[in-house]
Amino acid sequence: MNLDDREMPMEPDRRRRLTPLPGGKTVPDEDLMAAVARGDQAAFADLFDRFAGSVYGVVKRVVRDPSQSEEVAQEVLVEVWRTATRFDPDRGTVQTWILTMAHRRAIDRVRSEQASRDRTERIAIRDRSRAFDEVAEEVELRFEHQQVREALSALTDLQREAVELAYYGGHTYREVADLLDTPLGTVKTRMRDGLIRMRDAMGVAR
Amino acid sequence: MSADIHTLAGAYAVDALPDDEREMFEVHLDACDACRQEVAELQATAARLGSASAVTPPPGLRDAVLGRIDDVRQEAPPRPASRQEVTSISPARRWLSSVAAPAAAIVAIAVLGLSAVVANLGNRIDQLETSTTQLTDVMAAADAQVIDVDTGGPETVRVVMSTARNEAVFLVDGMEAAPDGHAFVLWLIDDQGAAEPAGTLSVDERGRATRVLAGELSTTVAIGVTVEPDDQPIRQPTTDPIMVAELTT
Repeated sequence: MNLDDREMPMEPDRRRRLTPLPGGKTVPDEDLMAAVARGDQAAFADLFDRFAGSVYGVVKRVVRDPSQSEEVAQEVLVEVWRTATRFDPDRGTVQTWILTMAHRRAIDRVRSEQASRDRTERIAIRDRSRAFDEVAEEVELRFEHQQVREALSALTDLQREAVELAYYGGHTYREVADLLDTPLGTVKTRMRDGLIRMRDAMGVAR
Repeated sequence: MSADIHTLAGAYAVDALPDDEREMFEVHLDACDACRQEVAELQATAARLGSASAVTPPPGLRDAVLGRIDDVRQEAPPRPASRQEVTSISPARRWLSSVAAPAAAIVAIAVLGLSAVVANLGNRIDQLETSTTQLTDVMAAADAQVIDVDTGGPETVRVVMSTARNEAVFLVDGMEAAPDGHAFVLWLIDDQGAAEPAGTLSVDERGRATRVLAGELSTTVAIGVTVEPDDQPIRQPTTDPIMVAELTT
């Protein structure tokens, strides 16, 4: 993957999913992953080019701080290499596997930071949710993610806010309940039915 | 607090569960096919949200990562999961014939200075003296309820119970081991104040204990813990309970 491709944000989907090979052939993510699991470093470099942007994007959105985000993204990608043998195509796509790991690591980082920050925590939460509004706009501006945008806009306000504050804002459902001044049970339910509605709108199998 | 554990799938998929609930839900996932399927789909949905956040990574990231993997050994392929064999626990029923008179006082006594916190359940699973299978079965039950017991302090004790299965799991953390020559004994207490022994609670070196309780839960209104000499048959409480977890919410 060359630098030019990476600087064309309007067509990242094709780049991420399928890497052109000499002769016009493409390797599905799953096959690339299988090669990585066998220790193929060149395959891992290809995998990196497909997913590094998403991994960094997810982590950055939650963690915010660029240098910490880079550190976490690096950990995640090395973890992908280290645990590649665990990937099971029957249980989901490569994209889901990697981005689930990335999000989880980002959340873990934020939580350990939070735990050590103690009293300033509340301020941090407010800052992150403010920052989140800006990111939400970024998402909306991106044409290639129209499907995600449409799926989000099909949600009720509460569903959308609950999902976004959790996923992009990195908040626990208890924090989300506080932020939205909504009962815990309602927030849990809205997160779930919001995601279910998005799943159906986007035709996500898994 | 009591909650239907299945509704946590959404919050789990977006990593919005606090650590202790996350681990508890993962235990549940181990046993609940429906939830596992749903979580897989909702994680795939969340990954789409993530993919929509893709940005150009910092210029140094590629070299840093590709430079590091050379020094990182890959894990061996996982073996098929094996589950711990079921260790038979003493069913409370076995105690029934020998249960003595009601201990009415127990019900009235509130939680007494128990330093217990429930956390990291998932990490404990392989250490359980009780059956992993029973534990996950309770967690997976359609009517599984989680009851966080308010100990009056920052500590909590957690009971996961299924009325349909007539089983409950009792969990504590941060608890000191029983004094030498003594054991913690769990009691199912009914609305008449009768206490039925439901096994012992073995606290590990990290202060954690988990016990699957099998007994007549439909008439149980509270679970009590007492300290008993461990060289005598357990028929009825000989000491005041150090805690009582009320099950009615």
